[in-house]
Amino acid sequence: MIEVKNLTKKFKETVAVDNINFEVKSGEVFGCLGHNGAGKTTTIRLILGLLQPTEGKALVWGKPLSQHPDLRCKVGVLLENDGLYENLTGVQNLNYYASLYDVTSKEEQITGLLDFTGLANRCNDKVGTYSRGMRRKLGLARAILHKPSVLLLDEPSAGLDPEVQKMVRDLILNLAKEYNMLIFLNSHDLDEVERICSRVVILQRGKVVACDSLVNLRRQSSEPAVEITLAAGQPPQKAVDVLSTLDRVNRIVPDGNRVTVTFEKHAAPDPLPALIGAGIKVEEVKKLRRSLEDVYLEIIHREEKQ
Amino acid sequence: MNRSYIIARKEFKELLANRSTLLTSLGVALFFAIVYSMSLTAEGSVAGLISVDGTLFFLSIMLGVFMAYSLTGHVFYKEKTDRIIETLLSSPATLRQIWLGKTLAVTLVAYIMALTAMLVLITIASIRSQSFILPGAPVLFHMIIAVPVFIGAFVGLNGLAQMALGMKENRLLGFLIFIPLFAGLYGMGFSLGAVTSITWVYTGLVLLAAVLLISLAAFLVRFLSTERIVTTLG
Repeated sequence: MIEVKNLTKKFKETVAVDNINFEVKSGEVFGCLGHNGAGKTTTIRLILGLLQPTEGKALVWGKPLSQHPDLRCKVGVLLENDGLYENLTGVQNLNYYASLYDVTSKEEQITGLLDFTGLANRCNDKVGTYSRGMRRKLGLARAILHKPSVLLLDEPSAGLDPEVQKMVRDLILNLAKEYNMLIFLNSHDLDEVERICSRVVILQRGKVVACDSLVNLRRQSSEPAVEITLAAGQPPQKAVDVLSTLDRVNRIVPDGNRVTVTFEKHAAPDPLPALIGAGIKVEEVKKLRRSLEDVYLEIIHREEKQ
Repeated sequence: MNRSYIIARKEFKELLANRSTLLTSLGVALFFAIVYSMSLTAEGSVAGLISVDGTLFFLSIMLGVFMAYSLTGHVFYKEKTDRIIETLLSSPATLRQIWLGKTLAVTLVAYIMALTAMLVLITIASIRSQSFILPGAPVLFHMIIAVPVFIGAFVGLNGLAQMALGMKENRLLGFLIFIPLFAGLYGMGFSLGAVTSITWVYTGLVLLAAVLLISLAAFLVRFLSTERIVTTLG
């Protein structure tokens, strides 16, 4: 279990993390979102004990990792860097970390992970000859080699092709489900977070601006939106002009013969009468399900305005 | 298994796998061994100016430290610039275990290279003088005991500095170490090598200095923090 309590980290005058609070429980896949410089990496470093908090605490199983090196045997880490040595082969890298983490039945574990990640045929090649995707896969194998109870991942699928991204996603979900592993995930990839995380924290300028389940975040932030598909030959600009006269409209985004309209919170959107009244033929009107990206951008923009 | 040993074994393996660095360093060591062996046995003005004991005494330390200087960066500094150190610091290995493991590996490789160079020097000098040259007992003791401890002290302190300092400061430090080392190997070594009689006092003083320095490095490690390392990454 991870507990972050009133956590603050200052670097001279700069406040990187500002009094943040959240908890993550076993079996949970928890996403940490935010723009560059929002404090995501600082948070992960504070949890790992690589940085000391200016105020507050970052605890894993009730203890700070910086003061309990042996607890780190139960924590897996994949940071921005894969933590691999280019002059060593894939097997040598895994062997090294297996020894550091006191892994029993090393051979069996390494063989299994190499097979799983599809790196078995390249395992005796130096890591320096691996592609970015292969390194990331080996880095992930390294991070879970010792069967940790807590896994901290910083942008795990950054720069990977879609096939490998899916493999990483499936693996993360499987680890959380099968092994009841707590997974803390820093990511820019909102689509990935939406697919695998049950809860998220959104950081902005070091502060928590939202921390909840995805379902609740969608519900709370919901600015209703509709997508209107115009009949063939209908001018989109005319539809935009008509829609902009409606009450409580926030945004109108035309895209070919489709127009997406976002309304203010709690509005009851019904653009059809106005369009029909203006003589515009409509093929379809559908309510849009808010994606995490919509929710995230809405929260970030709202905070920026404040 | 002790984590320092695990780290030392891995660093040793990686240094051996880094052929270009290894061969360049060994080439430099052999170059100086050959130059000094030629001077030892030259006829003419240089002949008789330097002694076997004096040369072996000073050159073994200088070459050992020079080799250590060229390898320390690959083990300590490079891990910071590549940012792999963050993953290592997140492992169960403590900062002291990491520092000790790396220091042991570099010391061993640097010492093997320095010792190889000394053996080459003795062999060439023996062949050229057509007599078997054997250093005195204090020099042998010095080469077997004091030199590896001295190299270890240098690696320990230099490695500690590389872990604690930022990238700019590290480049400056490297430059500041390189100049006296290179000057020592090129010119000063001949002057120092002129000391004809190496006594147990000399050997004892070097060993004492080495032990003090290595103790100082081990003491200073307690002031090194993971935060210091992480906030000075490249």
